[in-house]
Formats: sequence, structure tokens, C-alpha cells
Amino acid sequence: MKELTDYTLSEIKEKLLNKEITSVEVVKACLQRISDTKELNAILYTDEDGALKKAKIADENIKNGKARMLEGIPVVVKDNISTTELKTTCASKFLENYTAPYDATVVKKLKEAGAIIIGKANMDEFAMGSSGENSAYGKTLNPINHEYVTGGSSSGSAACVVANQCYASLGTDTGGSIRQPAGFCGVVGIKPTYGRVSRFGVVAFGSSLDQVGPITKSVKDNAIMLDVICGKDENDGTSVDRNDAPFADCLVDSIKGMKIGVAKEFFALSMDSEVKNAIDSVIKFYKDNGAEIVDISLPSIDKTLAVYYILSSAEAASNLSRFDGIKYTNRAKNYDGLVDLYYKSRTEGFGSEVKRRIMMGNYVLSASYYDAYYRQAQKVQQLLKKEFDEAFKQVDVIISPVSPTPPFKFGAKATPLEMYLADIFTVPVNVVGVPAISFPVAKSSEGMPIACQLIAGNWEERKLYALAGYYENNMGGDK
Amino acid sequence: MVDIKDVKHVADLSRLEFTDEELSKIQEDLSSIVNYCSQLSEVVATSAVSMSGETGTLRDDSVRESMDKADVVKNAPFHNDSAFIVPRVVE
Repeated sequence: MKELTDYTLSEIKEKLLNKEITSVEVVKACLQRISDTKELNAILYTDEDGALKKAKIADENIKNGKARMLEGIPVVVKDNISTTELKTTCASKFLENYTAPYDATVVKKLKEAGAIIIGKANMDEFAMGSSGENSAYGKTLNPINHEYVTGGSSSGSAACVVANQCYASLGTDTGGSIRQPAGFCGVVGIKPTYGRVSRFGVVAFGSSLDQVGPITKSVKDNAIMLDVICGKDENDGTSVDRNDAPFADCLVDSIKGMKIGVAKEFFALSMDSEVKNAIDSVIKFYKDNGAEIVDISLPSIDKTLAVYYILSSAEAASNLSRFDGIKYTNRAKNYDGLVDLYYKSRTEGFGSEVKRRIMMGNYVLSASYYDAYYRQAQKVQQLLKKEFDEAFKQVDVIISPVSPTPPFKFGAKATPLEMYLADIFTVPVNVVGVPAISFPVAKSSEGMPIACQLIAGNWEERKLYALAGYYENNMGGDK
Repeated sequence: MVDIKDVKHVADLSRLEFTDEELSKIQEDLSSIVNYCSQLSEVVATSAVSMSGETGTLRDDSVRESMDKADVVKNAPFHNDSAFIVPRVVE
């Protein structure tokens, strides 16, 4: 007997519109599920009263034929996305008591579509991490096997979806932070084209790299969510006006003639044999179903991680300068003068990974090193963009693993650099700005999900949905 | 190995305090990451252009409602309803 919480977003939407169930029942089921699985620590806090009030309104709207796109459907939002009705802590002690005075644009859009935000998801502090181990409020457990990490930094956002605590979530992705945890948890995640979704109200990490994106149980659900949150926003000067057709219409019955690029340099990067075999099987599947597999070249791809860590750390160091103990909740109790207040508040408020990235960022931006690192990274970034542009003249999408290894256990990465190397396949996407999707394709010998990444050219999310959706429909995903 | 003097200088720029032990660990971490990133110097690349190909647009320079002051300051640890309260700066 299927539980209400087992359904996908599309399925529960149909049941609500057919009045087989009410939003109140659905919200209660999700809140119960969150409570029953609270050891996962995926959700930091919930808004039970607010959610139930909104569910009643949703049921009225459905009754009166006024249902909006996500009417009455419980969703969760990552805790670096501003919400007025719930705190926004970024999983940091620094923002322990911070409640945003305004909703992020993506939150506003979810509300206008009738979605019910039932809670905020745990994450790596200030979105810095690839495992979910860097939260000031405790790590998130992988619902599939609690000994394994969820991946990060959208650790809670991925876990809450696979654990059926909600029907969809929003995460953010600066270097893979939606795609990698989605991959480790066996769900679908997309990083849209830079500029597709507004960043207004999203606590900034790397302003030229960050994007908000949905994490869902299915490709179809993902497309529906992206339709809701995307669009130009006058409050975000980097968001772009686009007239693309609804993503929900992008699923196809045939992929004949679609060109899938295999970059030899990408596959030369170190990866676990189970991961290699899984991706090879996906390539074979697409080929057997009429797609053309094309050999392409991305000569500078092995330099991307270095480019990413320089640019993202520099932007993070600048963005996190605003946390000074004056404006945002936490201030040190004991200090001697203003400057000491800054030192004490920041030293007490930030976790060790955040401090490491601030140090790295300010190092590469400091006068003696700016040209050697930051300026050089920007130049190599342009080179990478050109290489990707060239590749997309020949192919529709580029295929790769999401992670070089299957999900790892807590404490497995001994050094910061080892953890950073886990991002080699995801960071090029953010550096270049193009969209990419992560969807489950296999299980490791330990029973943990292995995911495939497809990368498309700017604004071509429809190709990602077409190919990922085709795989999911014909292979049943591999959950 | 990144010079410990540079590490201390960057810590000051970052307004972060470290114990001697922490400073040593940060020096190690920073060195390994910086070392890894040094491979970029091998790349011959010429142009650097800003990330967003489409330049941001500006709105009209006109006065309009922003946000209630009380909402803006409410999260500060010390505030009156229209300003953040800070330690004395000017002697």
C-alpha cells in the first residue's frame, strides 16, 4: 500500500486536482514523515502551523477551480534562501537567529504558484562543502544508508526528497552543490544556465557561479519546478529575459539524431571503475536508441578545479565580509573596540571550512598574488568557455559522471584538497555558466546511487530534460 | 609552502584569529591548495572578460519605497528601531 509521501510531485498534484485527497492530509503526512525520520537531520526546522493554514487555503482554491501550478504541494527550501516565515541560518552559528525581512524571489514564485514551504533544509555552512559534514547544526545522514554522506552542499535538500519528507526542494549550486547530493541520494537535480533563475534573496557565496535549482523525484517534476522558479527579475541584474517554451513540455518519445559528446579529457580524469561502467552503459543505451555519440575535445578541462577554487574563494571572501557582528544576529560577547569585535565575532561565528575558503580567497586577491592567481583564473575561464562553445557546435549535450566515486562514508576525505577533488566533474559547468542535470543510473556494489551528468549549451535545459527524461521513462531510473 | 607571514597577513585582512596550532594547519591547507592551483600558470591564456556576457541593466534613478527601517535592523544584536548600535568609534 503506497503511502501519500511515496508519490511524485506530478502524481500528488493529480490526486489533489481530482480531489482524491486534500492538501491538509498531504501536509500532515509530510510533517509526520519528517518527524518519523528526524534522525536524518535533513530539515532544520518546520513551519507546521503556517503550512496547515496554507493547506486549508489551497483546498479552498482547488475546490473553487482556482488551483495554481503547485497548489497545496509541500516543498522544502535550502536554508541559504531567504524566507520571512522561517529562519535563514545558512547552517551557520553566525545566523543562528536570523529571520530575513523579505522573501527571496524564488520563494515568492513558489508561494504565487500555491506551493507550501514546510521547512528549511540543512546544508554545508554557507554552501561550502561536498558532503553535508560542515553544518553547524549537525550532519545530514544519507537516507539510503545512514553510514554514508548525502553529498553537499544541498545535503538536506537532496535527503528530504529521497526520504519522502516532501515532493520537491530547492537547492543552490556553485560548484556542484545540487547535482552531487542529488546524485548521492538517487534523485534528480539541475543547475540551470547562469541567469535563468533569480539569485535575489539567496545568500551569496560565489556571485558569478551561484544558481538556484530544483531537486525532485523525477525528471518531469524537475521541469515543472524549474518552470515555476525561472524568469527575469528586476532585483537581480544577472537574470536574463528568456522566452523559452515550458520545460514541462520538453519530454520526448524519441531521441533519434540527438548528439551526445564524449570528451576524452573528461574521461581521462581519475574515476572509480564502477562509475566508469555505469556511464559507459548510459552511453550505450543512448546509442542503441538512436542518438549519435560524438568524440569531442575539452583540452583545458583538467584546469577547471583550480580555476573554480580561485574564483569561488575570492568571491566568497568578498561576499562574507558583510558578516561583521553588527547587522546579522551574532556578535561576540567580549571584545575590546570595534576592530576586535569584528575579529571575535567572525572567529566565533564561522566554521573551519568557511574560514579556510575566506583565507584562500583573500590570499588570491591580495596585492602580491592577484595577477598570478585571480587574473590568471579569469583568463583560463575564458579559454574554457571558448572550448565549451566549440564543443556545443558539434553536439547537443556532453555526458560525464557527476562524481568520480560512488557516495563515500562520513570522515572518508582526510584533507580539504581530497574533498575538493570530488567536484572535478561538476565545477566546469559553473565556471562556464551552462546548465547541467544529474539523474540516477546505477547502484554501486554497496547499494549506493551512481548518477550521470548531462551538460548542455546556454539556455538549452530542454535538451537535458529530453535526454534524462527519456532514460528515466525507458530504464525506470535506478533508485 | 606559503610563508607564515603571508598567512598572518591574510588572517588580518580576513579579520580572523587563529591559535598558533590553527595557523600552522591553515598554512598547510593553504599551501596544498595554492600549490594545486599553481598549475594554471602553465596555461597560455590571453583575454579576461567578465562572467555575465549580458551586462546587467540599471533601473531608473528615482526614489521609491525600499523597506521599513525597523525590519532592516531587527536582526542586529543591538539596535533601536531605526539604526544599528555599535561600539564607539570616534574618540
